[in-house]
Amino acid sequence: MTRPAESTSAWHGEDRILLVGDAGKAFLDIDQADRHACDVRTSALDAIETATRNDYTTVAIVMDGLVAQLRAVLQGVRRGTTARVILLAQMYEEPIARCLARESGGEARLADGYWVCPTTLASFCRGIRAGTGPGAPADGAYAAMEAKIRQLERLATTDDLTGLKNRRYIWEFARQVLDRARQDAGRVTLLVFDIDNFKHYNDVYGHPTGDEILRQAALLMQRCCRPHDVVGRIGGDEFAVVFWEDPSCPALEGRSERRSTEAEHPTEAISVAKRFQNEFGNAELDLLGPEGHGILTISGGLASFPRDGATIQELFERADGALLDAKRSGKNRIYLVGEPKNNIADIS
Amino acid sequence: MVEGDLGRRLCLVVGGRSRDGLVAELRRITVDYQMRVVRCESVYTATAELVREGAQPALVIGSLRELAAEQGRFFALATRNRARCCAVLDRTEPAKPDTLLVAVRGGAAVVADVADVRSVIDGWLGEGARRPAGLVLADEEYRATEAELKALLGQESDDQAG
Repeated sequence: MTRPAESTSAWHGEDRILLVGDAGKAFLDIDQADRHACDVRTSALDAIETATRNDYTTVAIVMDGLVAQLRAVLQGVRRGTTARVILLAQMYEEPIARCLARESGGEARLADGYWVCPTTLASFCRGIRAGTGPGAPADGAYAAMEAKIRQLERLATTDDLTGLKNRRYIWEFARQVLDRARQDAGRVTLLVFDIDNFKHYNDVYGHPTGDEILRQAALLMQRCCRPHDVVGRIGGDEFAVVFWEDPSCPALEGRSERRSTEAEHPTEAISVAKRFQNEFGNAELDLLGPEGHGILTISGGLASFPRDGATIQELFERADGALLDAKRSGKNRIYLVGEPKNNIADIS
Repeated sequence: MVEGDLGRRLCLVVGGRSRDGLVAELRRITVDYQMRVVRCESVYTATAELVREGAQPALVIGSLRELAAEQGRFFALATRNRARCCAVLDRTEPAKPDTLLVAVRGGAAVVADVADVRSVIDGWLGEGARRPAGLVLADEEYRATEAELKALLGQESDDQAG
């Protein structure tokens, strides 16, 4: 793929866009950068210098390759320019991008929005300039079309009932995270769980109640997870959670899931799963009447890369196997993959 | 007598999460001088600060590891923006020879002890307007420094190797 030379465009329109990093990884038509009045800087330092010196409306940063410096780079961009800052994320980086684009704890957010890549520069620039990009007002026919495309993308990857990611997304996300973990000696843990006796609630209390239980489970699990973990609904009452490392998050130092640590068990995943079991068990569901308190339980299986499987297919199979064992052993438990069966409740 | 308007001279202290308290120590040192001190979390915020200051000569102080970001690219960027760099060697982790060379080649003053930063600041303030701040070392000074460094590291200099 041809890449544009690092030059500042002679374009003097209202909108100038600076692309930072290996833009070829984000855009399929990066050789069209000049045509779209985009400047490219592969070095983040050079980019901040250029952005501070010039009047860009948007600075778009390719996350891939920046990893640990990402926050520092974003702080630098924010210090140097008032331009809108957009993250260009690969699918597996979306949870991180979402965190960075979200205000938290009174701190100014580091990014104004993100796009999942690869995409085309033509589409990106149209979206940014027409206003479908985050933080800009929507306007015009392009805006309507881009908004439609983004809505379709959302529908294709989201579970309508719970708002969680769907099975398709979880599989692709986990595949990408696994690829990365292979390169970085990282650990990825998959939790698959379902709601015990769900059919009973559906049959006795009706489908609206069943749906409410699913929504409650989704909400609680999201609350229990770290922001970069991804929760999905992969079947009727079956959920999956992908636990992985966020290399850009210094707050997690020392608590990482890296397999180089001596920890045999995926401690973070176990602690999240236990917290969820506890909260779900204590959830109050008015729809279930007087017996609605403290009766909801789950069963699940936890499998980790690389110990329990090398591919996403293997991890799902092993976690599903552990889930079945948990059901056969009396439900209301989460098993770690392996022999003998290891209930996470017994792990301190 | 120091030349120039000292109150307007800018010193950037770089380092966000210094484990050995280097940043705190640097702040204690720099407060003794009549210059504007700005703390930057990293070389990336320092870059923005340097460019925003425009023609203002500046001194950038931080750990060698921090300043040597992007294979030493920051040193060249600082020089382009009329800034001098002062890199402090890490007390706990030995510097890689390549990193040291990049710093010296990039015109940075490298000090082993944080207390030596004072002499770098004195020298920088003393330079005043006599010569451009971007020109840190005269050519012969630079060659000598690199040769000394290579000798310390047990490497052949380019002349000997050739």
